[in-house]
Amino acid sequence: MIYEHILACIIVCTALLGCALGALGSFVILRNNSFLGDMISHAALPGIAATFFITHSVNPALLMLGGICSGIISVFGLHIITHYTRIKKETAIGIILSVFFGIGLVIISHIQKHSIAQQAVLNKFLFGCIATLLLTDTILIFLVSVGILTIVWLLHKEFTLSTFDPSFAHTIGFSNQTIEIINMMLLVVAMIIGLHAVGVILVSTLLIAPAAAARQWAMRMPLMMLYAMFIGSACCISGTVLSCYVRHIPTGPTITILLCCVVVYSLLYAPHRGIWFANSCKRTFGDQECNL
Amino acid sequence: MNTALDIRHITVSLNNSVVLSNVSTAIPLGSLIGIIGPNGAGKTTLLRCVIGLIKPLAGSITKHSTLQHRCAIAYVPQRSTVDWDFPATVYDVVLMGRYGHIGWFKRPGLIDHELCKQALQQVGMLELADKPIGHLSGGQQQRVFVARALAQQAQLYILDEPFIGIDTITEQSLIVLFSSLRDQGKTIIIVHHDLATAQRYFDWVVLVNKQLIAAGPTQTIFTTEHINKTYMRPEAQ
Repeated sequence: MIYEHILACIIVCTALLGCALGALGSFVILRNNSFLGDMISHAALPGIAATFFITHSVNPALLMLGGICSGIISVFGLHIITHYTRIKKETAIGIILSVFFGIGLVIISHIQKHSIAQQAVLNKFLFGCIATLLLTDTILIFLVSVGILTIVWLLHKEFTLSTFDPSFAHTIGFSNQTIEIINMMLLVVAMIIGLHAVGVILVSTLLIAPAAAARQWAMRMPLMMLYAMFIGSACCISGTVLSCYVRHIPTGPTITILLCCVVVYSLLYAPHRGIWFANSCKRTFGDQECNL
Repeated sequence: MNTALDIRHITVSLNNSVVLSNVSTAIPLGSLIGIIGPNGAGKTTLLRCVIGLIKPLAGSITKHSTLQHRCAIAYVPQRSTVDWDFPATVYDVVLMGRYGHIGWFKRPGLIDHELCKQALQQVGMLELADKPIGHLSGGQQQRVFVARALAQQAQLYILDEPFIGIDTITEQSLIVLFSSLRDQGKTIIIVHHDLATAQRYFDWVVLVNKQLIAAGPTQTIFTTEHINKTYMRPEAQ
């Protein structure tokens, strides 16, 4: 009974997490920022490890706060490099990602060397383990996800405008910088709570894959967000349930594999944009009619 | 003459090279104005200064009192500046023209939807309202952008090369639309390339090539001498 209750809590959390990351991911891929998620998740590691090293605390809220701080520093660093130097965005992301991850690994190996008690908590963030979340973790994930979804719902008009045509957004009085900052903050927070579920390396899949699949099916932005939220939460729930009931199946990789299956299916069979649809349409009606 | 924009001594530098040097001119209200010059002459830069996307190194731009509101200037960028594979329908893009009036957090109301439909009707795109923008031809894309500007109900329309890559029929229908807007007292500034049509289209021309060559009524300013001067390299002048 208690086990089922805990499982229900975890399922609600993973569903909300999938929704939050799916919704934000739609804007991330349309802004051509797909590597940004990877950068933030890797950049969070030194913050989490340093917080643990300094406080010796296993409080997830505190560790996440550390992760959020270093995530924000990485985003700020990216802004400075791309605006004040001639280095391209992809290169800057590559540099920041590896530098922060390197620092994170140095701190972790230092912690392991000193055999600090409860150091295994860091593995949770490295590899993710949503199936073993505590009640306090689930409450935190629940509140943060609901907060992110509320802000996205309130600002989706502004986010869409600034993503599609930033120059026009500026001329009618919307500050692209403010929109970008809000977007980045939401992204950093969402990625850090996502670390709990699937770990540093796989969390960006949770951001990108649902949105990439949803783009194949949706022709309008609100629909793309809804589909991405649905795909993200459905895969998170299925992955969590599978890893709970089948022994020796890790949560993160299961969710990732499920998401990849949905992406491949969408790339092949989505109406209008799927490869199979395009080919069969061309065979039936010819090139001209199917030039969608 | 009522002045829409009073541009004074504008100098702009991008990536350490001077794009515009000491440009001063006055743009009249209620006219159809052509900004003409060769590639790289700084035409788009001048427009981007006017709408505040680029800060000039020196100089100032004073706007007429009717152009002070944030939605009073409608900007139509070059089509190539946006991703036409974006998940949006024609209606969604035109409705964006109302966002400045709607403001942060709020949703479009009945009046916004009504004005959006009117704008689509004006450019003859109402029947394509639900079509994804990725399925449009170049001319249709341009008309969507113009409809978005119309939905904004601005006083000054700034269009960056709106006739590039579109068919003659669309070009003619757009110029008729712009003339009717001018007759309603609106000001329209168009960056234009085609010297053959410039004289027919515009009441006022601004000839630019990194600096102001000449500006004034088309009949007096659009002369062979000025055109030759505009299209020569600045060093040869």
